[in-house]
Amino acid sequence: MANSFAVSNAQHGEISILMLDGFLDAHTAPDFEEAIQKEVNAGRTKVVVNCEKLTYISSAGLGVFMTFIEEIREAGGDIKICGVIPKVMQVFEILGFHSLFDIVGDVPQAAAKFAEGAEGG
Amino acid sequence: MRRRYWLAAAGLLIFAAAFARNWRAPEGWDRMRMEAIEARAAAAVKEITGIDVKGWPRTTVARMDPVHRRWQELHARAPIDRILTPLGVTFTFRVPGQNVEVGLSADGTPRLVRRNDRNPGRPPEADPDGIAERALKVLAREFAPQFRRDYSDTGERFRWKAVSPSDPQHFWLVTVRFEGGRFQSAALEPRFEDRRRSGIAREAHFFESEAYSIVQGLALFAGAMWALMAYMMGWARGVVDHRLALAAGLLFTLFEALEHAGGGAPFAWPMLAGSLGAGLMAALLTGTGRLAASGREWLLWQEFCLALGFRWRAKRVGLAVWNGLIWAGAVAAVPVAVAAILPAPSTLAVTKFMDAALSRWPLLTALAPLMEHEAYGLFVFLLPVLRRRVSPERFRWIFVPLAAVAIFLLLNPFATGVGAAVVSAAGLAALLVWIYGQYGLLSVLTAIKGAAVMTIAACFVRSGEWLLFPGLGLLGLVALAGAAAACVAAYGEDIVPAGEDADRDAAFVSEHERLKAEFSLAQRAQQLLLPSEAPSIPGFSIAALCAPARDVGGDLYDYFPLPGGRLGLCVADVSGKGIAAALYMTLTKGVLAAAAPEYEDVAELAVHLNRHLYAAGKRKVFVTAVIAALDAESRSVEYVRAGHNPVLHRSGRNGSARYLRATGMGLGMTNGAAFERLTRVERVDLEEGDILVLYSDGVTEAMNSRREQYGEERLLELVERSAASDAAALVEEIRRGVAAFTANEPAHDDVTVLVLKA
Repeated sequence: MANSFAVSNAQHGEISILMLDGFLDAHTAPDFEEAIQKEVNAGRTKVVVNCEKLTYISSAGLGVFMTFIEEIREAGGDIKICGVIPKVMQVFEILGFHSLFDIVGDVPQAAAKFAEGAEGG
Repeated sequence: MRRRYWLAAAGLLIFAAAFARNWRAPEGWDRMRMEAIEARAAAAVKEITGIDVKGWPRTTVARMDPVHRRWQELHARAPIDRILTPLGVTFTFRVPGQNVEVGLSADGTPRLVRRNDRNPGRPPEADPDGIAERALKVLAREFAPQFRRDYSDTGERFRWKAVSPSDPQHFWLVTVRFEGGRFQSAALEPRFEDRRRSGIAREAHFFESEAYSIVQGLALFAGAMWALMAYMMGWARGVVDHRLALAAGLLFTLFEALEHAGGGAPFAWPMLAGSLGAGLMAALLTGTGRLAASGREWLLWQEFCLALGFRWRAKRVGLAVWNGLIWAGAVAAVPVAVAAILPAPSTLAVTKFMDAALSRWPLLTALAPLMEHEAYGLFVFLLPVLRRRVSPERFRWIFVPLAAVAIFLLLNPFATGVGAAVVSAAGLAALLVWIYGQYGLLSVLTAIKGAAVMTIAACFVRSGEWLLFPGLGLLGLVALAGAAAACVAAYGEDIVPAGEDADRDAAFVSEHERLKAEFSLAQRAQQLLLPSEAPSIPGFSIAALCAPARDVGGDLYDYFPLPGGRLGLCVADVSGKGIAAALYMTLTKGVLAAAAPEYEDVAELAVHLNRHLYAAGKRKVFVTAVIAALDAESRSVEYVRAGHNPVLHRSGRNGSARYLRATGMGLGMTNGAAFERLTRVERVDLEEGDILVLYSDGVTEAMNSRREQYGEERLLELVERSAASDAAALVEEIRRGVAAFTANEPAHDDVTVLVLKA
């Protein structure tokens, strides 16, 4: 009965890529939260959240993004979101996430965004 | 399985063997019935003083001398060492103006005669020497030749002394006193050369020491208070199984009363109060324990609950009792074996058995109370309560030592011998906890009671005197109970506790119920925060519904007045679920209600709300909302969509519906500037029959068993097709539509709907 959810971690240079898979709701949000917390603790603040396989997100899941964004930005990093399927995208849009986060097509685009930011800053 | 039976049988054998080898009855309480002892008392008075006290009203006090008992256990080898029993019974015969006290050993031999009268005119005795000699003969009996006169004071005081051949430090004195030539008293007393130097006294008094009894009393009091509080709290939440508690209370009251009756005392109200008190305590412990017993504990409780529900024909009850009785022998063997191995006491829980032996109905008194209260409390109350608070891995390491301490304090089968008591308490705790884990609560309680009855029965049988038959009767009863239990186990009915699928769901049901009850208070509080009825605005109908998913939810709808006579409408959803979400929901409602009258513009109201929630939530919690302002005069609505689901608008003219998606973002996610930039107010002019539906994501994300979401499309279709005449009817249609879609799937999220119909 439990909804499946997994988060896996990959490292591309100084960018951490978190791959979300499955169902992100109040039950599974703590897993995601823990994964981001690990990156923050390790000082890796350039985080790309790959949502290609994310099929559902609830408000608790959205809350995880909100929990970390300020802290990460203050530390000079950012959270970029990529590969969002339309159904999840709709939830992001309803909430106004696109004005808070860079939401792009895929991981290379997200990495490029980080590069832009570095040049610009 | 078979091996266990062999183990249990071995325990029984050890009990029988060690008991036969080791048991002595230094008290001698088993020798005689009370009536016979009383006759001996009267005879002793007659012989020494010549007074016939037969028929005088009398009172009786029994008293144990623990030092002397311990000394007898350790040293008594010569016949004279048993001239006294440690248990003394004192009769006081009274008539107006005088009374006569007679002390006897429990075997009926006299040890004290004292005459108290307030008659100064009583003539001096004619022959004090003769009286003293007679007293020595009566008190010292066949041992009189071993007593040497060591003191005599001109006919006022005579004293004889006999030293124990086994222990030169110990001796007996026979003292006869006169005053003005009138007989006062004659007494036989044990004495130590130097009592203080003897460790016997210290050890013997341990179990009667103030510290021991204070700790004992505190432990019982703390347990009782704890149980009372837990019961009351459970009651307030409406989750206590009162029937179970009542059944336990009644049983305890009944057996306690029988025990008192067996003691032979005439009926008295305090006695009844005592029985009721015991029953109340049992009810509290049982009710509270049942509350705490969830998950695995509940599985172990089932036979016990069936038995208390008087469903004695249940197979499982029979099997549990059978297993308990089988292991009773092993339980009884633990203290007896310890006593046999350690150079320690030969006397087991004498005071308890003494009650039985001195009772009018020894058999009944031995059976009552049904359960030793202390053991009952340990397993029915303390164990499940602890289990809830301690992790499973650590539980065994905490509970077994705790049980050992409790057994040492409360259930100690030794009257003396601290070392043996500690060892046996540890052994008993381990064995009892094992039985509990293997066979369940009913089995362990049966084992404890069975062990107590078997020990008393063995004492009775071994004494060989008049108690032989009550003893055999008790053993017969145990055997009968075993046979009955075996029959029920073999031919009984398959009954499981009512209302719960014992095998599959039992582990979860009670936990779930408890949680539900806990939430119900919060839910009631939260429901009170929602408007009880919709405002009535001429020309419009308004209705709303909020069905929380988890009893307490983060959804909110509200109506509030806005400046210029406009009516504010709001549906909001706090991120997350449960209590935390509910708290933020309360905050949101409060800020909204306080700020609404001050803002003409709903966008400004949203900005204000955002500022508050951003400060309070630190971004970790955010709230999505649609805030709308209805102007009844101009028949229009202005709304902001703060990250919330779009508003559904159905045209009254052509019946088509569409979603209104004004830009905006969630409240509490970001600071004022970004929020302001994004938030737009949109205006909708309402025509006759137009409908606005505000809802939370609990509607569109409601899921069926195939993981499909209800979705915006289905909602739109439902609203388009609806022929609802007013807002309330449409709210109900939407609720039904969502419920029909999800069928029996539990709701993941709160479902909130607010409908405005022009």
